[in-house]
Amino acid sequence: MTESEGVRPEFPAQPPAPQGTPPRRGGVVRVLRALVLLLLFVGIPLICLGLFVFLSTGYRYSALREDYVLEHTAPPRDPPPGMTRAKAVSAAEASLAKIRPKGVFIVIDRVKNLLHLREGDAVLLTAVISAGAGSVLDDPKTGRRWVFDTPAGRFYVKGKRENPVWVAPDWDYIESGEPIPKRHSDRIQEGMLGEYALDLGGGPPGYMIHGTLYTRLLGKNVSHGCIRVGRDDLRVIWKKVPVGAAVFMY
Amino acid sequence: MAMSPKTIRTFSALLLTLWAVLSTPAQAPSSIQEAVLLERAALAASKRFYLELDLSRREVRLCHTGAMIAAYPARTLEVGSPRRFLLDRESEDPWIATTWSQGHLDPPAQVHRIRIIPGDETTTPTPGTAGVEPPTLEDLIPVPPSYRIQFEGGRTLLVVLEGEIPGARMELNGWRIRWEEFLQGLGLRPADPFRIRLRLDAVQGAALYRSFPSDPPDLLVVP
Repeated sequence: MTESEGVRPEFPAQPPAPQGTPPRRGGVVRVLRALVLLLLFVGIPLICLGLFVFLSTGYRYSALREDYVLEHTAPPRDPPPGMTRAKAVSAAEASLAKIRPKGVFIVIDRVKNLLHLREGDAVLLTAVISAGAGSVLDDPKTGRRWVFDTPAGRFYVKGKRENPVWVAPDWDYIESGEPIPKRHSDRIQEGMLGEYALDLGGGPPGYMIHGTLYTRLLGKNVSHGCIRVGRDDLRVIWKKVPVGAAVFMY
Repeated sequence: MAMSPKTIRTFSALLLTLWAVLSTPAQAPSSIQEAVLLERAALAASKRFYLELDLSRREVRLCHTGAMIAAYPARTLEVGSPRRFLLDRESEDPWIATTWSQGHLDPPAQVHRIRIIPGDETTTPTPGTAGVEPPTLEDLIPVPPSYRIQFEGGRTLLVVLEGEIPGARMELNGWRIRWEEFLQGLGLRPADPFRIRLRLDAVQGAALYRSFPSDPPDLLVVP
């Protein structure tokens, strides 16, 4: 061994550098960094753009402006041939006056089960009633079907009856599972309709405003189409509503 | 060149006249009233229910043969038009003092009718036994939190209910509606060219929805 060899400092043995394998940690960081940059410069702008497109597209609502009203009002419809505009207006006024209900009339809300006795816009009475149940009955033997709705529209009081009797129709027996009577007299039931009945037509079967034994069910849709009213309210209606009065049911 | 005072006056008068002509409303008030009257008379003569939307009173009225049957006050009234990327596509068509007809209700009203079982008292409309509580029409006709009536030509009345809906409620997917509106705005679905949006108290809005017969009535917009 030479002298120089003797003084050569000894270094710890270095592990051999791995050949061909990339540095693992640095690579993951680089990929993450690229992803973050991608999200920052591409993803977020794209999301913002998408949000802008979504939020700025659809319908825009604004309060009504007076000029808007003036700009979008239609011109009056053309008068009928051979008639001037002034005559058409007079005819329209006369037609409205003729067709509007005069005097006392009845308005029936079938959903809220309320009856309003009105004269013009004044409400003379509000009564809790029972309107049609809307249920369906099928006769298994004959295939007949009944839908127990109170009809909607304008009706008139066609007649008024004191102490009315009820002639029970077929559906009453089918509903209760009883045999249908053969004699007409067997169908007559007294007291079922209360003290009074106002016939509205619309038949057959025909609809009525009448009293009821089932006062606990007033305010519910439980009738077979007629309007059931409590005794005290029915008395007021009987007094104030003449034959020919209009009845609106909605 | 300096203008003389006379020229300035003449020029100003001309400008004022031009401004007055351009800013004159499309119709005089009397003409608007006549238009409303003629439409109202035609609707009353139809002997069917119709609606009147009163813009100044902000209320919907159910009418028949010229008589007001029920009124439904709105909390707010707004007009709407489709828009794409903040660009509005406003309809130029007149929509006031004219009748909106052939409407259909969306979603349509459904009546969940009870089928009566003969002899079974619990299904009969008038149960004789106390304790059996029959349902009301409010229970049988569910109401959505918002609904619209689309009329001929795409004019639409959109009703939004605020508060607790009385009785049965129909669930709607709000996001799906918004997505549909988005597609309509983009032009991928037919859009309503003009809308009126009403916000009603839920009690009023539900009553209005339940009052519709199978086809919604015609609508007259009153200024």
